[in-house]
Amino acid sequence: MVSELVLITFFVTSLQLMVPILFASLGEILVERSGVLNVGIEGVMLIGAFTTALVGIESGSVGLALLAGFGSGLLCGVALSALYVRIGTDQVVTGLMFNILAIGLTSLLRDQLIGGQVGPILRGISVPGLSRVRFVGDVLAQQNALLWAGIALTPVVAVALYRTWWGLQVRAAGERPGALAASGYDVWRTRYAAVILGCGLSALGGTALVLSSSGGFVPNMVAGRGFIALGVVVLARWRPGIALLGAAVFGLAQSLQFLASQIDALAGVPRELWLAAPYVATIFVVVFSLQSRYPAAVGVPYKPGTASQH
Amino acid sequence: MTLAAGLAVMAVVIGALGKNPLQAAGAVVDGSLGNSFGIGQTVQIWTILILAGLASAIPFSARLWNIGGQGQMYLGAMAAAGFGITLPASWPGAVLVPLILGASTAAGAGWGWLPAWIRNRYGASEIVTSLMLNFVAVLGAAYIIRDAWPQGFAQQTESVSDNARLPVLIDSLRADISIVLAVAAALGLWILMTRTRLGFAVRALGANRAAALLSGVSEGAVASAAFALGGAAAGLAGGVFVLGVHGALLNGFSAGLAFLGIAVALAARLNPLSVIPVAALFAILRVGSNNLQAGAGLSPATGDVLIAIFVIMLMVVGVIRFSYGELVDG
Amino acid sequence: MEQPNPKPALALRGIWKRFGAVTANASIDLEVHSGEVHIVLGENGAGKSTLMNIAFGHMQPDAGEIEIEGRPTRLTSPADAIARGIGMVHQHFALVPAFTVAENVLLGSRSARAGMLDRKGIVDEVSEVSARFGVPVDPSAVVRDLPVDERQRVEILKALHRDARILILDEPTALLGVRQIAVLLEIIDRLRDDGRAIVLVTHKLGEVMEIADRVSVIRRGRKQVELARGEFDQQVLAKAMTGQLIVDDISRSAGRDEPEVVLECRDLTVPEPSSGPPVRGLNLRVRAGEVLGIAGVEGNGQRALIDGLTGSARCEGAIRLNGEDIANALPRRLRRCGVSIIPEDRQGRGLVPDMTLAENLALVDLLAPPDDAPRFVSWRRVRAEAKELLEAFDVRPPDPDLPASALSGGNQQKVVLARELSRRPRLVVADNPSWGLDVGAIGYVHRRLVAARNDGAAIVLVSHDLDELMKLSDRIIVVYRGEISLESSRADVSLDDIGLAMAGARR
Repeated sequence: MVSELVLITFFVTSLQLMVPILFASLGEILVERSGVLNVGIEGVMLIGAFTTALVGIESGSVGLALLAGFGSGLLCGVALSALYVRIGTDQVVTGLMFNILAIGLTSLLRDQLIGGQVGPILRGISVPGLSRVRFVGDVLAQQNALLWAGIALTPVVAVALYRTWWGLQVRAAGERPGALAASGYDVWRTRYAAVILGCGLSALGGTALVLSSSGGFVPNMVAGRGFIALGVVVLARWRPGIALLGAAVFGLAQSLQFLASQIDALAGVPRELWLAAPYVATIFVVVFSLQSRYPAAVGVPYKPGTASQH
Repeated sequence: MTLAAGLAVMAVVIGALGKNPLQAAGAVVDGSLGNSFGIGQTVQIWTILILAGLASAIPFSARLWNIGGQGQMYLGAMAAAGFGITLPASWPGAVLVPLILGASTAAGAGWGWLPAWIRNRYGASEIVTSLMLNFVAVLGAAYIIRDAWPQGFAQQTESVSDNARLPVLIDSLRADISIVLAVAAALGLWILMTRTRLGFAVRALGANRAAALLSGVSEGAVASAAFALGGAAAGLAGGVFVLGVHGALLNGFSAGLAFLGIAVALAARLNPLSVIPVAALFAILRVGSNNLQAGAGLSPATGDVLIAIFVIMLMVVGVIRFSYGELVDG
Repeated sequence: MEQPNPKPALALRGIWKRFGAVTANASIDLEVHSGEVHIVLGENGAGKSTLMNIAFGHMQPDAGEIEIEGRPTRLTSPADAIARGIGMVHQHFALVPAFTVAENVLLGSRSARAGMLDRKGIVDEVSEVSARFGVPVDPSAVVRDLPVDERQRVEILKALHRDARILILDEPTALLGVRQIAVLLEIIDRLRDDGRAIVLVTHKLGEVMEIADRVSVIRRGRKQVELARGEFDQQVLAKAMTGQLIVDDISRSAGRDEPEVVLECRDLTVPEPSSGPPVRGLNLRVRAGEVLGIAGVEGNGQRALIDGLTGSARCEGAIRLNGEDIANALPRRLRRCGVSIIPEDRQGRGLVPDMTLAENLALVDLLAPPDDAPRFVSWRRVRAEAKELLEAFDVRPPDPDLPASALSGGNQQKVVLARELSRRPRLVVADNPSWGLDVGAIGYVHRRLVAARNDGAAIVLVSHDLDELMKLSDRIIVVYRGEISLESSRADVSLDDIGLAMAGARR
């Protein structure tokens, strides 16, 4: 059997790995709810991670690094919304090209600017009351503020989408942009806002990767987590609350390899099998989330003046 | 025309990075075509980019997003390594090479067919599934390299037998027959897309799915075929890597070329014939940009960045365009 | 009637709008006063919708002016129009299907309340507005589940909730049955009494007579005449609208004595089509050389029936084509059995707009070929055959290399007809084949369909247009809530019977 320490480490790692996917998913939910599919989310996270590391190294300040990560995501959002929304290029291939661009650009700048240096990281914070609870306290004591921020953000995004006028507009833009326009709103402006803000949140996923590990940047360090988030969003049926659960499941799946390595009975199983678990799980998720329906207008650029047709 | 616009964009980008575009262009050309080593490398990358471009171009024509080129390439490479290592080394090359490349092609086609099958059977988006299968394939290769046929602790498998290596065409360039295979594949797929019923069905499905369905297209079969053909091209690229370039399966061998293939397909506007020159241009950029570090002070990743910006620009000006169906009511 | 204000609520002056070579609006003037219903009458494609889209800011005119309450105004977007008190009920409703009625109404509300939504308050507010104007809807219902007349009322509520003084209704009766039209006209009457200015666009003469205070007739983008109540009658308007007397030049050959049954549906149920409400337990037969017309208020299952017949939705029960069971067969098999399909949405489902005419004409032959067809395509032969078909069906221009998107709507429909009817079909499923076409093209479509019937094809014709059904059908059935409420030969049925059956009365 496994010791308590192993289990604690397993859950600690799982929660740490959950955070990037949670931020990425929340951001992507906003984006997709407005009718845009951001396959470039992987690139947004990479740029967020790189900017965080760069500013952290240069300034030594975790706060500045975090802000910079978020800000870089907003900037990516500005660029991507110009393409996705204003110009109306195909979202899937634009996103893929953006990813190539981001991978190239971040590794190019890394070589020139920061190399293998590391910056400050976020420390675990203790939660009053919880820290004395056996096991749970041990797991949570090692978590940093981003976990709590992500958990706190989940209901905020949900309320924004379902309880505010802005959310009503965003959802209308994703379901039937023509109806939004005929109601006197600017579809483009609504989508800009959702894409920019969503990219900001997704970039925080990259920030979390950096600030919860070494504080440095490794080329292509996002390693498909953005793509996993695309699957989580489908699994969650575009609802922030379920996305939180989905991200948690994927956190667990990503640390399976560690748990398995501690169990003698599983020693013969190649570690690649455990490493593949989150990816295989994503496939199963999209296969068995059949009832979940993408917002009707996802992927289709909106052209003003066609509102009377649709 | 498009080409000139693209070069102009790149010049502006390089200029914006504070470098002299002409000097950089000189370094790119010099690095990729200036000596026999550079030419040899450029031809290698050209070969791979043609095949990777085809891997995207065919499914994209049906508006199916095959983003799994990397995984299909890995499957082809794994098949090539497996057969290249285990088949009797005494067999003549004329038997080994076609047999192994055939296996690579089939493996890639099978891996490519999988997301199409999932889509047909369960209606799940091929975007996410084909992407995820990339990671699974890469991990499979990692297992083979670490456990099945390890070469000590090196990040590669044992080498394939000498007879299984691709015959060299031009000695001084170390160019093997793979470029001929790639060009032949492009020609063959071009004929398929423009002259056969299958190709027509692929294009019709991509241009208006609803009308194609009502006219009697068999969506499952056509989608599977488009994906399998794309996967086959990628698988062949993987086989070429193992039998030609490296002689073994290396960790991380594809170096982003599969994703660059998407850029090739787009810039070629999904035309298999145009894939050939576009792949050549991008190969020059990629190999040549290795030379930029010394020549003009930029990193090797510059090539990829330039290519991505180039393709995004083509989309912005509308050279690359996709049509969208009406939103469905209810 | 009260004396109209000196200044019209909405005035369009000298409106011009061109699309490429087509002039949709040529110097059109239109005025509507408060407490007045102004009807804009014209055939499909006359330019009415373009004019209304300009009045609501969806489009900008090439020339001309818009005045609201006497003040010159520029409407660059629907937001401008809404801010100036204009509301529009769109022909294809501008509602979000996934939202509730209340959410849809609020989406259109321009009140300054930003921030949080008050869900309970929303529902109460919508109920209140709906009661005040006598526009009955359930505020918590999801729009996707509503029948078409209720969706329309949601659009009206949307405009009333933000207190629109000027209401534009674009073809509001096109999809409604007799009883629902009556309800709508009552609502419009109340709104007029309430002092609102109403512009109603239509191509049907009947409703004009009932509620119009003023009628403008538009033909080919030009205003023909404007008449006040008392100055017009049906004949005057019909002549102004069509510019000609309508001649029924269709010759139908007498049916054979006992022609074979081509299509037979037994207990046909299409439980959940993606396109709308289901049909249940339908029995019908169509013989060779017979046109079966299917009438019904939109949303009573005719869409489901078509989906079932064309292999686009799962169904239960039996569908037999010349005795062979084809229930749940995919379009591929249907095509091979000689079924031709003329979908309502020709750009979306009938044609591939980006492909050439030759490719479009060969679409079915190439996509659903016989088993022994060669794998390679001879484009030379395809082009030659296309050329012949384009000539035979009078498509202009008859250039096989032109993309289908380059043709006018009427010519596009001719391409669809050429492809579907030249295959000598056993069964033709035609869904509103003349929808949105001009008079000439409609006549052509009708002649071709009857010719196919005379050649022995069995034809299932679904249409919103009762005149079209009466003109072409040998037998008519009416669907109501997914079941047949009337079945009769055309000779034995009157428009009144059909109207009653569409409203649910059984004989």
